[in-house]
Amino acid sequence: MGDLTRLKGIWTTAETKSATGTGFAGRRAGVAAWPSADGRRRTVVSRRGWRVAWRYEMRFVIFIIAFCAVMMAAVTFCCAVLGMWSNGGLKPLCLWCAAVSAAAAYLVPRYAICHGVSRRTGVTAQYFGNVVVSAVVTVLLAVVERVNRAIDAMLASYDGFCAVRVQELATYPDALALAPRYLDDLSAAEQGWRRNEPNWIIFLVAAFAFVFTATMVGQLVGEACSRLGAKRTVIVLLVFVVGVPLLASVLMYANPYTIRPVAMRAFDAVDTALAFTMGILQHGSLEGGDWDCAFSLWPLLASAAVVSALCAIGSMLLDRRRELRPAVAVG
Amino acid sequence: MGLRVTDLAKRYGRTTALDGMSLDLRPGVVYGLFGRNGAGKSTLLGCLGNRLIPDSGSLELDGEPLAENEPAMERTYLADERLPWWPGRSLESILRDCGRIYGGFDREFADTLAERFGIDVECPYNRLSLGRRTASRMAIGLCLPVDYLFLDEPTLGLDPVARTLMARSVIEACARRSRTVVISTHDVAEFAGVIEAAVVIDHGRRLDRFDVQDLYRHAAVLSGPASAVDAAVGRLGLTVLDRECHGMSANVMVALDSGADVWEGVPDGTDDGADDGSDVGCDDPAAALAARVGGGVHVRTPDLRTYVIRLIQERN
Repeated sequence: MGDLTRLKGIWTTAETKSATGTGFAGRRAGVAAWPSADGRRRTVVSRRGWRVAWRYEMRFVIFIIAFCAVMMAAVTFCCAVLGMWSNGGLKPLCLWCAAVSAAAAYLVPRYAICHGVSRRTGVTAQYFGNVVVSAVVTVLLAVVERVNRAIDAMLASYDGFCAVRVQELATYPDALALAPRYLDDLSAAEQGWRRNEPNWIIFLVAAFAFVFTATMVGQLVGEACSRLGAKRTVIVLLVFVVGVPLLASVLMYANPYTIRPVAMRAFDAVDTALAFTMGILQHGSLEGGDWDCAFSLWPLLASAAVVSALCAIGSMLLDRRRELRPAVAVG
Repeated sequence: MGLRVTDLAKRYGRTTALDGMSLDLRPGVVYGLFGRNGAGKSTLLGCLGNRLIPDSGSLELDGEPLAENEPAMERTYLADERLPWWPGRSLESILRDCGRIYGGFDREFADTLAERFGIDVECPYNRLSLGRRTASRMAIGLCLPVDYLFLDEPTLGLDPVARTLMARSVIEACARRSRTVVISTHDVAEFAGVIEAAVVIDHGRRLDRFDVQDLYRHAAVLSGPASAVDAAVGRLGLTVLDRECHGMSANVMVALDSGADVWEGVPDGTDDGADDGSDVGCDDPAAALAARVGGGVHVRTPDLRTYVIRLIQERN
């Protein structure tokens, strides 16, 4: 909370004096007060800084878009030929966008800072890069969905979790209503099977929210990796990849009367929270056969906005003290 | 005007890299930054190049804060061991990129330097030898239209011929475009003919800062019979930086700080009320010193490399 309070002062814009150097003509630029350890540092941005930062950022943006376009085209074509369905699988695309966004957050400031680009410009340029990526990928998804419908590709699997949710959300025009729409599993499957014409606006908004959230999370991960360093990053990854499943397994074999019920409730809570962020609210119990889903766009948008904002703040805080250190002995 | 470093401090964990460093860099002057490994040279340049964030202190360029100030930052460039481009790119594409990023990039001089150092501009950077990679990075820096250029270890991996060429290239670059250059290097002798002012640092602190042409005001070598030299040194209260004995004769390098008795009574040309020679007004301090030491003791100005080494050794 303290960081949030301090960040309120970041965007206090003012006018700066002209640069007085001999090599570059002075120019007027926006100034933003930048909180720091000594409380005196300020960030002054210039048009050139933006140009340089954007030049590097664009390489990753183009990389993401090109890959997504190729992948979606290839998958869609192959699936259509094989009589299967791709529906512009959003989950792998989200993962891919997050991964490349992380790489961009890790690498771009390394180059940009060396060319006199302020840290604020670098991190802000990537926000815009994420918006561009998300918008283009969303449009590509819509194109793929349109092609799928045109060639009447069949829904074969529910594995593409995000894609299915987007499609489900978009299939019901009244999903925009604040009141959630309750459907049982069977109804949802039937609706999906019929493949009603979706509400394209909802489709675009939902897909954009997914992809943008993924890129913002990726940016935060990239900044965190750069802050942690290679060794610590590997350790954290190992903890997540090995430690968490191991812990879950241990909890599952724990005392069935004390620990296991608590763990199960915790896992259920996590599942419910994740589903809620996707616009799904589970009702009833799966074992009782009365498991219903509530589809609504609002939880998705709200969670996307909150997660993105948190990631943006986190990225900025991490990038604020980012350094390119020489090879020195660290005690 | 110029680049002002005030009370700069930087720590890496428990290691203190800079400890209250203060410095003024004047426009259009070539500086040498000298010190032992770990003295804080690269950290100081890193702070000046905005790659490191100091823990405390301030950096001002022409009165404007340098940190996170893009109009000021774009007037500086740090050429160090890091290539700010993807290392798989060729020097040719990097130079083209420089032309687009920096208006006024001296492409003609860049081509000259590439030819001078035998760099194949079409070869990917990461396939070049260590010396040529260094030459490439430094060549890029020398051709950029910046007012303050910081060169960190510009002779890393260079052969003796290339080192000489590098020193000459710095002079040429300054002739083509006036700028302040700070050269951090251990090759003091190689750049002795290039630098105009020297800054010696150790343990994150500034040991000395002087104009090279005024070196004779900072130190002198007394040569002659060992007994006479020692007597003069003791009588005048000089700080001994180095002592070499050759049979009965000795060469003693002494620091000429303002507190020494050697300047007592020597007119210094300034009106600060004290004739102590410290106000850079004494025309021939070597002659003045020679007149005071007497007894067959000769006085001469030490070379830059020897002075820097002895100064650092004396402080350690």
